Amino acid sequence: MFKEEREDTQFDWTMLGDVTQGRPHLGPTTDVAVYRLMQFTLRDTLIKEFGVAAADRVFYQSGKTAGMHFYDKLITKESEFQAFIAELQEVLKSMGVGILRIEKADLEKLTFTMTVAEDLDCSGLPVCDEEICTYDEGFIAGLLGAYAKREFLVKEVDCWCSGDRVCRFDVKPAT
Amino acid sequence: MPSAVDNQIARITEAIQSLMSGKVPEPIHLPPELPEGELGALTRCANRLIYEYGSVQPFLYALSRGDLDYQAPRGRMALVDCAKNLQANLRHLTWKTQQVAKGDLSQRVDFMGEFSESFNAMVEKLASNREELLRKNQELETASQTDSLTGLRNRRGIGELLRRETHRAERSTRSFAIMIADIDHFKRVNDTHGHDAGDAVLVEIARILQDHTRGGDLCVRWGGEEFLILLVEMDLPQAVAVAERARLGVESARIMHNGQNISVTVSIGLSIHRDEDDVAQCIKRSDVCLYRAKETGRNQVCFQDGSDGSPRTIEGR
Repeated sequence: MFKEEREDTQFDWTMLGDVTQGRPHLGPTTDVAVYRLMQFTLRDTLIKEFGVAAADRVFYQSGKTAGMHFYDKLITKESEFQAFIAELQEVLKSMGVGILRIEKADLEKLTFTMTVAEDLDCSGLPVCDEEICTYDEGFIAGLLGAYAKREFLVKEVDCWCSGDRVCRFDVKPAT
Repeated sequence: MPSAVDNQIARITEAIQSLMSGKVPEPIHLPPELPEGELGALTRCANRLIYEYGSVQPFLYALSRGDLDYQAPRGRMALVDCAKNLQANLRHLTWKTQQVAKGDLSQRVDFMGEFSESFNAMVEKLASNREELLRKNQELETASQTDSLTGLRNRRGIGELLRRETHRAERSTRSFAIMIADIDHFKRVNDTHGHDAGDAVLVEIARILQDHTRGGDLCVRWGGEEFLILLVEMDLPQAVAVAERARLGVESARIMHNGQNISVTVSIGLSIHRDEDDVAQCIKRSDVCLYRAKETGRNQVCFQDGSDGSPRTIEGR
């Protein structure tokens, strides 16, 4: 299930298990530092083993898979864009992922500028003149792709790590 | 004579005074004859201030004149952090306002203090005003399609319903009938008993005709003393039976008005919608039948069965 070789993604939400049953005393939440510990040690190892570009690809693709499954599992289907965004904002906030906001949205061209404040991945990290939320890029691409049933490209243009207070993402359809 | 150190301190002082007056000075060089150390550190700090101020100033000016697309300086600068936050807030607020302008009144703001409260109050007020306008609009729409005397729909209110029923009938094997009922000698009622009595008769006849229809049927005040009844999913024999029962109901009714007992009768014209019809043709045939019913004695149902196209009355009457 978890360690089989595979050509295509086999991720399924059930792989996350029954947290209520499995953690009756500790519950479903953990310290953000623990999440980041895994995220940045994993990034460190991926870069060491395969290089920066490959590490970014892995983060983007896994974020995308997560975004698609997140949409399937937690977001109401067939809703208007406004309702979709409102629900997404609520879910991301309540789960402590971040505060999502829209700065621009062109529903004809399907281009968007979105920001995430208090981002789980990066808010509070050292400033290093890099945009590092590659997983978020993929996550947003997966979410929007599942919603609009088409492929999107997401690029982070501002990040806490590049000195901004929010992470800003430009979204456009994949041609 | 001032020393090189004094001159360097003077250059730094002058640069800081320029910054304080809103001008961005050139970076300060540390002359080679001066040693690094405290003076070098001071010079670097001054240059950092000059650089930050030089980057921040145009961004702040752009922000102050509402240019939200201006690219904020990169990197963490104490001076610019709050302004970047403000820029992000204003961008999101702009988007929210655009959504409100497009009619999405569910937008709320929770990140700009008193402004948020005002924005939210404004949107809530817009929403309640819109609700009220929609409600009043609906009331006006209903009023404009309703006959105020009888409470039935008027002629204006049924165009769409007739078209819908025609489309339904075209897709179904069940047709519909249109019956037009006209009160006989209604002018005589007005002349004999007064217009109030005439109104009371109209109200009572409307009630009797409605009592003879089902939930999906439609009863309309067609004009003056004339009523149109749409009988849905009905063939000719069934429709004729309904029309005859309605006629008998009117005939047997005793309408009390100001102590007077008023009796009236109705003549009814009836036809069935045919596949090739538009609804106006069906109404026209019912009208021709009504004319025949009037012409041949009144207080009777006259119908057209379509086989020979000529209006007939119920046999045995």
